[in-house]
Amino acid sequence: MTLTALIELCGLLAASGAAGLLLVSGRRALGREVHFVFMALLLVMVANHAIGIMEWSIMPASFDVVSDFSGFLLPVLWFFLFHTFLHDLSNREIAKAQTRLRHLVSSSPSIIYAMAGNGKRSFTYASENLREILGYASPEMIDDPGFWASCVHPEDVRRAGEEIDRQIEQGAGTVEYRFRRKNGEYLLISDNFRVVRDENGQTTEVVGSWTDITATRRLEETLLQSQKIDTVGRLASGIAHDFNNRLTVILGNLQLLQRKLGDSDTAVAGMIRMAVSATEGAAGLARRLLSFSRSRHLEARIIDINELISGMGEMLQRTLGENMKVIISPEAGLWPVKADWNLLENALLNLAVNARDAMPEGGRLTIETGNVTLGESYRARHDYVQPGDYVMLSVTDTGQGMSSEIKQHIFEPFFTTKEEGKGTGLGLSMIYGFVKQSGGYLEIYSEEGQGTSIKLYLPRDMPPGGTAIVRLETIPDNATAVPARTILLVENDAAIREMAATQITDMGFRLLAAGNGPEALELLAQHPDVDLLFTDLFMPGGMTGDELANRLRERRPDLRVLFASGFAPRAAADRHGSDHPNDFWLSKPYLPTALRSAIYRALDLQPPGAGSDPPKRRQSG
Amino acid sequence: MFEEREIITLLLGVAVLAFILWRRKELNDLPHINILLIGYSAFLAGWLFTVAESLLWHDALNVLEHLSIAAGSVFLLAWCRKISAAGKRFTL
Repeated sequence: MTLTALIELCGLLAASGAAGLLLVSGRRALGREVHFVFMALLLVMVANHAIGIMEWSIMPASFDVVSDFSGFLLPVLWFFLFHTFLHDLSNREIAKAQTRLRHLVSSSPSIIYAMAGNGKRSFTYASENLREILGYASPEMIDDPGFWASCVHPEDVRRAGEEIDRQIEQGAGTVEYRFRRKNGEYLLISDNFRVVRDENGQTTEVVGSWTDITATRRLEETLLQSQKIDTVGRLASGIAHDFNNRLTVILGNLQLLQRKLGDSDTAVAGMIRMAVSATEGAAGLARRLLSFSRSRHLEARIIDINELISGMGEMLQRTLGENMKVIISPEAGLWPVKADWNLLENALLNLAVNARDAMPEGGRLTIETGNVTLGESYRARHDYVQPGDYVMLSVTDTGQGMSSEIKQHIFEPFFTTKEEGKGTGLGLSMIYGFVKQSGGYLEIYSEEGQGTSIKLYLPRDMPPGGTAIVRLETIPDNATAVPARTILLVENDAAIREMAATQITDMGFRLLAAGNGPEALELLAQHPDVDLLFTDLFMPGGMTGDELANRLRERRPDLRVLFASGFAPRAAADRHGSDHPNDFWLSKPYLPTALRSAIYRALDLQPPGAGSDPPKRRQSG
Repeated sequence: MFEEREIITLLLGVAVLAFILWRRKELNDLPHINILLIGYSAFLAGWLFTVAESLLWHDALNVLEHLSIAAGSVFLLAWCRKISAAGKRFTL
């Protein structure tokens, strides 16, 4: 055997081995077409090498024709091999792109669809997420020409159909309508579509997507409602603030007048009493406005709502009348909450009175409490809720209920369904403001003709060491002031400043008065022996009472500060939440007696004749 | 003396090389493409030696011709082995 024949033998073994390997597992690895061409190439190679062996060993020049043929065939087969590889790669790319597209479409939050362009809304394609979002299988949608019309809400089907037809003529569009899920629940769908045309401009099909916008729309409506209420709240609180300032002057002067008049003229004294009473009524109105705007200073402390409702049971039964059955259902082991006792009491009373008005023929009023944990599932339905532990206080009546139209406006100030003169329209708005300011939520459920249930959720609180606000007794009007105490009065409103100055000097204290923060700083520099800073919290256009107190405390860290405020901006309220031990608060408008009591407490003075117990320092829980 | 069939085979081989170079970027996606390309180059060299042996060093170039083609078969075997060892359809 020659060297060439040996080489050919090696080639034959290699080509045969390759063909054997391909025969065993090549088809699975390469695919049908590539495998076929590759096998052909290898078989020609085997033949070529076999001929080579024979030509160079035993039968020279016997296979020239076969050899010539295989010689031409080899480059041709190589070409087909590479060409088939490329074709296979291209098919794989297409398959990969299709898979990618299918996954993308399925992972989309929208259902992708295609329908015939004949305006009959017969669907030709629906993405796989149809089942996940609406609960239907693709064939249910594709095989049924009446699918769309049967699933769209009956009130929407005509309008939506007309809008879609009109927009298809324009080439693209978006229509919103309610669509029924397989479980019967309706979703608000945004149908976004585009017309596909052929090269002649004829409509071939319509492709589009259905997006569930139920949650988004609900959130938008909540936000809009919240913005509306906030705007009205800001307006109301601005008015209430100015109103309070004027009432402070009126009330203060009326009481001074009462004191000066003494018992000399009973007719005039009676008129003054009536004026005081009317002014106090107006002050109450201002307080409710401030409650709504969430700007009122809360006397928050840790309370047990069960204690509150138990204490109110009898009173409510008496107030609401005999034809109303009041049922109190407190949950045992109720968590404590941090809230303003008086405001919560008012809120409950308000809700009870509203319930009575909704049941003119009598009925049942149920007041319940309960511990609830609002988790992520609740949040999914109420996006504004912060998950956590809450104490629920619900007031349920068996009255006439309210329509969804009324429900939308129920928290707006001055909105009332009662007869003229019977309701101010501030009750629920005040409750809304109070609950929001307390970090809670309100939920209304009402069915026309069935009744209404209003639930207040107040955040759970644990008393750190059992602190609580202690109710303060009013210090008698005739108490004598302890002399040699200096009060620095800061008030930007001249009339209020003058009135307060008169009252403070009448009490026998030394007084320094300033119209704004910088003046107060100067006065303190000249008179470092000031015992109490009495300042308005909100002074427009300059340093606030809060800022002033901080500046003064840089020089006198132990300085006692009495803030007067009917209007407490949220930031100041939050800051107050940190509780400086020497901070005290007085609500505006205030009477001279209230001012006297507040000053005594702030200065930690014991009023003469008030007994041996020292007056209690106000603490926040 | 040139043989017509050898010239045609070489021209076809060069045309396939041109095709490979043209689609090289796409072919790069094939697994172990370099083994396959070296195998093809061995074949092409064999066809070239076939033509060249008519001009000079007949015996030596003839041996090289058969050696190149046999080497091409060996590279094909190597590629098939790699693909079979993977045991599954090659992925892009």
